[in-house]
Amino acid sequence: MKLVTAIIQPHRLDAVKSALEAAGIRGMTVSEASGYGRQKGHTEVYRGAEYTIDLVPKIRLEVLIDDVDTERVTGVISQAAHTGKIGDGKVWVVPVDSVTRVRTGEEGAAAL
Amino acid sequence: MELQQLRPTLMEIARTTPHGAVRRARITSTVTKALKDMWHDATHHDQDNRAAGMALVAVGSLGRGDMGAMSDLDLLLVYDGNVADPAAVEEIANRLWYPIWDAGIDLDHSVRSLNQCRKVASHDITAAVGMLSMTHLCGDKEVASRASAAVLADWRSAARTRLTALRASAKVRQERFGEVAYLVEPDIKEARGGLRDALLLDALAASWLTDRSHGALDDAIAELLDVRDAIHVVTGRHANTLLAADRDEVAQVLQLNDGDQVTAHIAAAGRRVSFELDVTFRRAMGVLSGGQGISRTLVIRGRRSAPRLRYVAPDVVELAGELALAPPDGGVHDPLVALRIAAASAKSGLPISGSAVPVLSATADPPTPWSPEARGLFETLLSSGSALIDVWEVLDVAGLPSRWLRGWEGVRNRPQRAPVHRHTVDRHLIEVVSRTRLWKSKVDSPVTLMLAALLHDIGKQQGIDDHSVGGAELVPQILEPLGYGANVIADVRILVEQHLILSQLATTQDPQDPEVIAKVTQAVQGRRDILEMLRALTEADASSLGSAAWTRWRERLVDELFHGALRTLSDRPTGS
Repeated sequence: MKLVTAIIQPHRLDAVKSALEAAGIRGMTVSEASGYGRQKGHTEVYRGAEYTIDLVPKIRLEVLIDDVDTERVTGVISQAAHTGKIGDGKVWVVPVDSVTRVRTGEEGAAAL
Repeated sequence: MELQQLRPTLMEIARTTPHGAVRRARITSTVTKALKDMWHDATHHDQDNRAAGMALVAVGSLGRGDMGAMSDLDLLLVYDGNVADPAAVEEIANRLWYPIWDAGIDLDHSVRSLNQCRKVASHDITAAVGMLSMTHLCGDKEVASRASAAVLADWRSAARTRLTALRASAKVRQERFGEVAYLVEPDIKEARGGLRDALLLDALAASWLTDRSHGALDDAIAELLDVRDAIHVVTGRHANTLLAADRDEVAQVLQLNDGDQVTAHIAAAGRRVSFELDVTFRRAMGVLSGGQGISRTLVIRGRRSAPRLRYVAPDVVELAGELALAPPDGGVHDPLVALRIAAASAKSGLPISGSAVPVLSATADPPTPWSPEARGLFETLLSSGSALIDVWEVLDVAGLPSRWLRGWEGVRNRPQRAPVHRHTVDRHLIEVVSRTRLWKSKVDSPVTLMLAALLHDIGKQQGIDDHSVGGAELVPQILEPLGYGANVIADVRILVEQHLILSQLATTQDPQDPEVIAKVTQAVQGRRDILEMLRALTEADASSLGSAAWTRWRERLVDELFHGALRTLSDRPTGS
């Protein structure tokens, strides 16, 4: 099993959610995140004062999947999150040792 | 009646007796009869009169005669330590409590001597308030009467010290349970303005420091009791919280149209109880401080003279730390007196006296269109920040906002649809106005911003689908009678119609996209001043919902879009 984590632009969330649902992914965790990658922050001037916007709002999306789905799911997320602009985000995959569904006690792939 | 049959019998009474007071009286008499039978069973074999010097008394809802079908039983076995045999007390207590437990009835029980009653009441304020409603059920009437009289006498003699503790306990409870008038799922008993506060009003009256109001207050308490009774019927449990899922069923039991109507009834009743509690507490504190300050009757050379009043505005005086209405010249208050006392209260922080409320209700409204003086007072009130909230509550009790603002009645006590909201629509509007104070020096027209905040959700009325668009249409009919000019009305219309655009676009579309930015600049009709007010309104609106609704994350997204739009408009002139 794998944990796919994606950092995406907030405005691409709806598109990514729809694409994952269409790909048969039934569950995901979404949270608000802030950070920066290579684009770093930028500076705004408002009423004479300069504001440094160093942490950019992002969405952090996490999906637990079976090993065989890894390539397909990362592809779906990348495609749906893509705008071609700086700050589109990242997708990474890490192995997961075990998964337990709390309600039923099911384990492994059955718990996904 | 078999004790096992008691709950089903009470539930049947609750289901079949629509009139609240009659229902509660029937439930109380049924329970009382069952307890009397039980007492008889527990004592009738008693050849040596071992129950001498003992009495079974009811406290809590049974003692007050307002028990619901699923309320627990609060019983106290009280005894005279000089007469009753301790072994007999224990034996009779066991004969009483066990059958109740066996019947599955929730029982809050205690066994106390007369001295113990006084001791417990002296250090446990909740127990003391409960014991003020002791009612004799069975056994030695004199013992019950002595216990009740002793607790009441102690309560009255210690009122000076206990009042502060009573007020503090109410505040702690409010922080924990919130306000019954505004919660999506209110606890009818514990939240501020709920049934526990109604008990505090009785406790204050029992102290003889002050009386409490009747009439509208009694009606409000009866409404809350009706809701509690309906919750018992719907849930079949001893529950006091109205869950959103049960709201429509509770409405059916109460023979109301829908869950929204239940919420509106609770809000109106809760507001009344909260208001009366504040007024009664202040009155009692005033008595304890000996009418401290300027209202104190002066004794000069052995003669009493009238209290000295300080005029804070025409017809408005300060009296014992409250604002009251002075007798008007010619016997009639001028139509601006309500605005005047409200503005003075908001500015000074002094509360409006409860005795002023019926007078304010009866005063004429300002002639329309409002004069610049009337508008000035209104704007002073709106710009007072958090002080506005308490003043507005008093005005609401007097029924004034609905008279001043056409369409206000449609949002008054109206529940919100989105779960993120924590207040009724009208209270939310006032919360948002109070937050615009932070932006007073940061926008070109603070008055326009305040009015937009006051009306931004005015469209959340029955029959309006899009509250932003529908609300904007209502703006002229509300602001024209207040004498506002066409420019202000037009700007408020834009702000009301567009009040969601920044947060919606920022979180669902690319805030750097020129097309998205263009949507914003078009929405503000290319005006920088409107854009800045829209940014302020967005924050005031979202932040009033709590920290979860206005996070740094959301703020950054909104600001990205705002700054993008601002850059686009930077070369354009401001103002209209």
